[in-house]
Amino acid sequence: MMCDECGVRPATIHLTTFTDGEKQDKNLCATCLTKYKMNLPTLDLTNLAGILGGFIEKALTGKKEEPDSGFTATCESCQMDYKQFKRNGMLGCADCYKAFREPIEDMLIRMHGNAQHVGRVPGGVNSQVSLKLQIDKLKQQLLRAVSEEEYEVAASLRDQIRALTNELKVKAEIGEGANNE
Amino acid sequence: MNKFPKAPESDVVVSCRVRLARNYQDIPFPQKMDENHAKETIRRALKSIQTANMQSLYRLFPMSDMSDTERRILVEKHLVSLDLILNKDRGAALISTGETVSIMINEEDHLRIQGLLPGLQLEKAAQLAFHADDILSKNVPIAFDSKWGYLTACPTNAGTGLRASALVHLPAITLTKQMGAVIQAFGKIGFTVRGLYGEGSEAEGNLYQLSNQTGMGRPEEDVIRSLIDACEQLTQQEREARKKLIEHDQDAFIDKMMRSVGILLNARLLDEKEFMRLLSDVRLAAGVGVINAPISALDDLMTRMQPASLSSLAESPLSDRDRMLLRASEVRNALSSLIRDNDTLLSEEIN
Repeated sequence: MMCDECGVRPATIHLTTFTDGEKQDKNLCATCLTKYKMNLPTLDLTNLAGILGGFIEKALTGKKEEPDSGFTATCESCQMDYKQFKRNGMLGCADCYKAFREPIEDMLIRMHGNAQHVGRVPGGVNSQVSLKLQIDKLKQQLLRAVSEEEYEVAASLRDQIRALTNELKVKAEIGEGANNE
Repeated sequence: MNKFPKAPESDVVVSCRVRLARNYQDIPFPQKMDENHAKETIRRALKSIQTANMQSLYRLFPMSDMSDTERRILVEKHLVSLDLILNKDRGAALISTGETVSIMINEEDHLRIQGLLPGLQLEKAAQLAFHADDILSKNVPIAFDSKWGYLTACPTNAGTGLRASALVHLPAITLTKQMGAVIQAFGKIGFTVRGLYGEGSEAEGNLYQLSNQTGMGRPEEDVIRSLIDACEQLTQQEREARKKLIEHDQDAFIDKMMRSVGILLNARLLDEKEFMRLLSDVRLAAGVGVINAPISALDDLMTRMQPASLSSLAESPLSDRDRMLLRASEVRNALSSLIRDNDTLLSEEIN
């Protein structure tokens, strides 16, 4: 769908306006929207970034109408400033997740409940990441088995952990299935 | 061999797509990357394809090497996003020869891996995407956290980085004014329903995108399964609505469809909006068997009649009016060879 105004650029914004109670629909590109909005005194887009930033902030902090959560940080790897992230919602690099861990965790918990990834891991089931995840899971089961005094189960879990840890060591040495972390 | 194979549930589901967002751990995300970083992500993706010995199955499309029309054709075919072509200096795409896998490079994330198929084939589309994902993440550091999963430029995509979607044709649900209820009902259970061109766009040609996203805590298979269930439900609902329309007044229904066929077979000037509206009727007519035309061919025609694809048929740039003329002539030719044996069909009961 092309822009109704210029007909050259694709329309990215659907604008519905009411003038004297008459509804008008227009599909506009960003450039024409800028021109068009001059004729629309009620439409103020100058603060659009601020509005969006406000939404992100709301999602991050859960506080209504409070623009500043007080959290400040800068990612050392890419120099992304937390404020900048709040404005456009995009992180600068993978390390930003560490730099802004606290507010991101809050936001993810708000979105998904207690955030824990389930599903695919880089490099498939035999990758180092996958092995580490399996070991972590077994370790948790081991703790539970010990606390419930199920020693046979615990022994079997311990053996499994040992086997996977050895496998991981070998993989790390020969650099196979190395993906990350 | 059938030139226009019939895809599953294609009377309602036009196409489906599974997208995975991936990033390299050691390169800044597109927002913060420089030119060298951008080149490096493209180099890595290409190398992964070569290492897997699949270079003959993929073609690299660096956005900067292409004309505006060529780039837009890829958008019209849903192979790349508008965002990718807006970032034309750095963006690239690796597209499989059958156009069923498209890997966008340096869009919002370093890699956006997509499996695309006609009809309702989400499981297969997912397999295509997963296979490409395995190849692209082999022996390279992928941004991943054991708790948060795949790390993406926008944290709302973190987790599986998966988004599954289906493009659905819902003329009867729209006509019977149930669309608002459908959008609301699906919204409540975590699905998004949007117009063809995404957020806020009108539902051109009664086409809607139904999508869902995991985020975190649900494995990929679950998310895909739930979208399949939703699509199946919606397909049933649309078929019911079509049946009711026919039962209500079969003659009026056939009349409306055939008038649209008539206009498309005879029009000399066709703008995109009118074409989409009329083609929706023709697609519906083919879906319920009022006319005998392969639906996949109609979908193919819909893509080919979009502005950039149409421009590529002409040697020199087209004015709006030229484009309308050309569209009408192309549609006349295509439809007259596609629609056959209608007299016999029309004389029979269609349900």
